[in-house]
Amino acid sequence: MSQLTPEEAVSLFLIKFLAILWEAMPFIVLGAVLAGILEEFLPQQAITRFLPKQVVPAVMIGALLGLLFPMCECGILVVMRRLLRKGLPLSCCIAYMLAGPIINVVVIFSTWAAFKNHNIETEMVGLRVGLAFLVACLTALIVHLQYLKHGNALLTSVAMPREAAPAADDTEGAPAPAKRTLGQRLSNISATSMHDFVDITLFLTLGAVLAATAKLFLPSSEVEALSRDHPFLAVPAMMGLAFLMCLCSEADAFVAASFTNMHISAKTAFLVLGPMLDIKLVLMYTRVFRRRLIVTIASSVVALVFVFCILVHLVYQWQGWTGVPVRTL
Amino acid sequence: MAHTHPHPGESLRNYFTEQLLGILVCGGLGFVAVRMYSNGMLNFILAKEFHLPVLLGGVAILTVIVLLRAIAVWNEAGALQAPAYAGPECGPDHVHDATCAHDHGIPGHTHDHGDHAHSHDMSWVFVTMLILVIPITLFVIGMPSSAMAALAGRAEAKLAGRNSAPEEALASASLRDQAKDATVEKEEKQADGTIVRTLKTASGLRLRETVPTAGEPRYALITAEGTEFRFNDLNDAAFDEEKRKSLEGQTAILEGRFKRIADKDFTLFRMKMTCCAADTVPLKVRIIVPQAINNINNFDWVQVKGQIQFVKVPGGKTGAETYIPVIMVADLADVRKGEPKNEYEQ
Repeated sequence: MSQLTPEEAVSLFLIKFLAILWEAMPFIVLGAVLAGILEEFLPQQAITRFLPKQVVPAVMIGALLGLLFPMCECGILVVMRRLLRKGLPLSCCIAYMLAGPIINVVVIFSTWAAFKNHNIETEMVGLRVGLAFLVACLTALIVHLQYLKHGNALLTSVAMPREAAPAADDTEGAPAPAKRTLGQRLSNISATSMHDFVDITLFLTLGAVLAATAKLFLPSSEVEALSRDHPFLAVPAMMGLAFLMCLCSEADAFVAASFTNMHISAKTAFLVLGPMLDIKLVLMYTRVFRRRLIVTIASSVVALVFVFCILVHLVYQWQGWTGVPVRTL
Repeated sequence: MAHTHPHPGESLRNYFTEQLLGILVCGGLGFVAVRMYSNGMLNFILAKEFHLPVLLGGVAILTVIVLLRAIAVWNEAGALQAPAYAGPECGPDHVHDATCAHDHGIPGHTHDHGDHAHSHDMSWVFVTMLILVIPITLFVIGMPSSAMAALAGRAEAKLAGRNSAPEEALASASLRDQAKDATVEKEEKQADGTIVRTLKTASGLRLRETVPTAGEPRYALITAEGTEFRFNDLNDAAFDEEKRKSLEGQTAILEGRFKRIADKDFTLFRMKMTCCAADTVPLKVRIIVPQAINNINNFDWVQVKGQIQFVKVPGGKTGAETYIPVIMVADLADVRKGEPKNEYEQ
């Protein structure tokens, strides 16, 4: 009875694919244009001057950078890659990349709005932002340790800081070496923008294909039913769902809210992991990081989100809080 | 990083091919974005708030990327032909390295040396462009279309219906039983001695009780004109006692996909879209009808009119009480087949 006909399956796939692609497209364009402007106008090492020298505070600032420069997870990658080239430390970039799509005004507001009717909006926003901050900072520090050992070999050369190139440009940033005309500047901006746009859109497209395929087989309501009875399965199950669904960080809170009876810890897992790691992001990460670093980021994010969310669950149990939407009876 | 091109002429040709293909494909994507905004195709895949960003994105592609790049490439090509040409630091057959990243005649050509081996491999460029052409091709053959959205919506309702836990028919008390503890809102005595009362039951249902001078009293639901309701509002109201009380007894009109549970009991599905068709969530409202329905197939669109009620169902293992929205239909004529304007509720 409820078997899909081939036409239905193909239509569902195409609709999902086009939806993911076109929703992300404007933000990639924005990211690519910003990347072009940054590349052209931001002097090498300029931002680094404003950052504290110690790693930990620098990483923490990186994680909060999203409050100043709100970007969603698709656009942030493009911008982050250019910042990386401009000499912003890798650890800082990682913190910004992971936390930025969650810790920004737009997403905080949408999370609040999604859970308002369930009367758990304060808890959800607090947990989401708090855990995102912790996970991003800790992952950035782990990456920092790895960076100390392996250096730029962790990065693809598109993302390598300029000074790391063998023939470093000493005059960069020094008083204008032959002033560029406006035409040249525009030409450079468009070159960088087009390059980054094509580069990232390619992987977005591939990611959208995979995500749309996953959608066809995704038993999301079964996950909900299963995890209602096994709370400790709920956290990993929701993490898996977040990885497969590839939702935009502005929209995912509404989807999480639709899992009404699920424990708050599992919803948090869904909302913290999703913007940091999903199918399309992993594909897009390959344009910035080499495999070793992607593995580090992925395993660190997964492990941390899992541990923190289980801790949240235990605290709720221990305190006797219900952790499901409060009903005014 | 730096490497010498063994065949400067070929590399230059590759550079221009890559640039031109890039301009062409980006131009195509930008055009599709603007066109989908203007012809309403975006309705099938994106929520309203995201239509403007797509338009702006398309315009940005067409101006910043396509137009500027086209001018720059045009100039570069012109400069190459002019005999006086010599890049600020390097000619066409120079050694590429990071040093001249920005100052030579062909920017954008520089950043990727020594990236993956494919960076300069023209076959990689062609594969990239081919993949980027997919959404353009889909647009050209008319996708997304309303027929496609309808098929996808049907598929989604099927999946939602298949995955949701089996639902049990609601054991609803007969109207007569519910009328027992009802409060009388209005009472009229007609000429022939029949008494007509308007009742409001404990669960908020509004009933008309007709007591003839001889025989049993009859009960009927009072269905008003009715207003269109959103599935989301009903489901949200189920969480809040005040909202439940204020909605109970009102007449709602809902459009959704039909899914049979029992003879007189079915679920109405509607997909809610927050941002895009990838984040749709199935919303359900339970419908109870007076007689068995036979002429409607599962997952067909129907329009339903009836009184709103909230029925308590056992919650999960937390033991919390859960309410679900239920529409009580007075007459089978209030259940009609019909397609909605939009597949999704936004």
